[in-house]
Amino acid sequence: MAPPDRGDVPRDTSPLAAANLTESSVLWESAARMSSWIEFLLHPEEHEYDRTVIYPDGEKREEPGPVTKANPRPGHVDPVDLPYESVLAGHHPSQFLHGMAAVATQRVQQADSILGIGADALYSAYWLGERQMASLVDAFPPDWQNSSTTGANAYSFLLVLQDVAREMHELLNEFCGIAARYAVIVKRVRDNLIHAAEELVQGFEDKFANKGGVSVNVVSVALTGIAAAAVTYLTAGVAAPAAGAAVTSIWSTMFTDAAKKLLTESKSDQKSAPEKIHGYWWRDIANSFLTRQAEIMSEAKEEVDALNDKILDLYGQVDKTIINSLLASSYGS
Amino acid sequence: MSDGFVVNLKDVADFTGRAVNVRDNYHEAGQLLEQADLSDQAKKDQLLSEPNIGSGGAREFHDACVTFIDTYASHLTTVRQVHLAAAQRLDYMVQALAETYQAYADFDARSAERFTDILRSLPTGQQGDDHGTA
Repeated sequence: MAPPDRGDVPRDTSPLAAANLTESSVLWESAARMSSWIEFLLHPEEHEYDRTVIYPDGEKREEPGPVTKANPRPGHVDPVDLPYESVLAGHHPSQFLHGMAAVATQRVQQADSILGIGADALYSAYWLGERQMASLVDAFPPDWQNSSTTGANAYSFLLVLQDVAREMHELLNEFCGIAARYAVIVKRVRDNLIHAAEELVQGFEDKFANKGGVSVNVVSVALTGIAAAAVTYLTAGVAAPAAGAAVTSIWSTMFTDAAKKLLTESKSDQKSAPEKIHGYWWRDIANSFLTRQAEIMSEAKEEVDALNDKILDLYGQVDKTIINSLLASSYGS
Repeated sequence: MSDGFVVNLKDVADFTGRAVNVRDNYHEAGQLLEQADLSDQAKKDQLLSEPNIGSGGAREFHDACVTFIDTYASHLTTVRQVHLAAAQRLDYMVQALAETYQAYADFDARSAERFTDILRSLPTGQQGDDHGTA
């Protein structure tokens, strides 16, 4: 339900635009509805509904509409409104969009994401080192290797390549999945913020209808739903001409695997359920959302930091002598 | 050449064929790595949000993403360089294998020719003719 006399899109869409939220964004619908409510609550001068009334003794009270008093001017009988301010005075619409702005533009879910191409490339490099280089070494003619200096030299030359492939093996293996995990983290932030925004709107609607406190259970989107949703969303995109169906397939598989891995980890972490969006006053409900938004972003930051550490750790385990030796040698163009 | 020198030309040819195949696959994967390269800031930006975010958790998340993508891009470049170096080694090896095979084949042909000449020069070298060996 939209706020009274308003639609599901705020009159002023500039905060949405500033957050790079466009109608084509998956975040748009929930962001726009939430913003419409925030705008409604921030501008009591545009309606006759909820506001914070400032009483003559300086006390501020949340009221469901304007409060009048007798006209103090001699000869005037018409009542006058007590001064008021927004129930969310001090807030700005952009505060509620900071989280969404941080995940508004990443192209990570689409099939033509550069991350998908990278994952495909890394997987190819991994597979070549893991399988083809090993089978090439196995296929080396043993008679030639044992009976000829040329054969022995050629075999040694090949073994260097196998050493490099082995050294890069673990890095490449993990590296493929890390890109997908970044994509899943971004998607999960999006899903959780959409969910939180929808619950905030529900909280506002309940508060408006009941004029009482609400306690809305905002639970992070269950990760169990991410895997299937991710694949559906990915394959719905248009594959890049250069990438093609193979990349789409590999990327969606990796995306799904990464989502499952995160699900397993979150179960083992036994994280406590996020705090409910709650509050008696409008301000409390709004602040509850802001707290939840901060938690979502903080958790996601930790996860991205962990991915960064993982890459550094993996590369730290690679024997640089072998790699540098290969890079220092000059063969071909 | 070492004692007991044995070269089966067919084995060398088969192995060279396999090496060519692996080399070609390395180059194909190398092209994909080239496409995925994130040295270009515009490509990195596809994976990041716009920096005009306020402060707090969203900003910290954005900064973490920038750091991660920089690290990822840097190591992707390293992987690409290592892969390219390996592909170049394979190029070199395939070329050397082809030259070696040709050298062996030429040597074998020359040796065969010399023995053929020797056989021809012997009066009894050709079996089943009018002179025979009996």
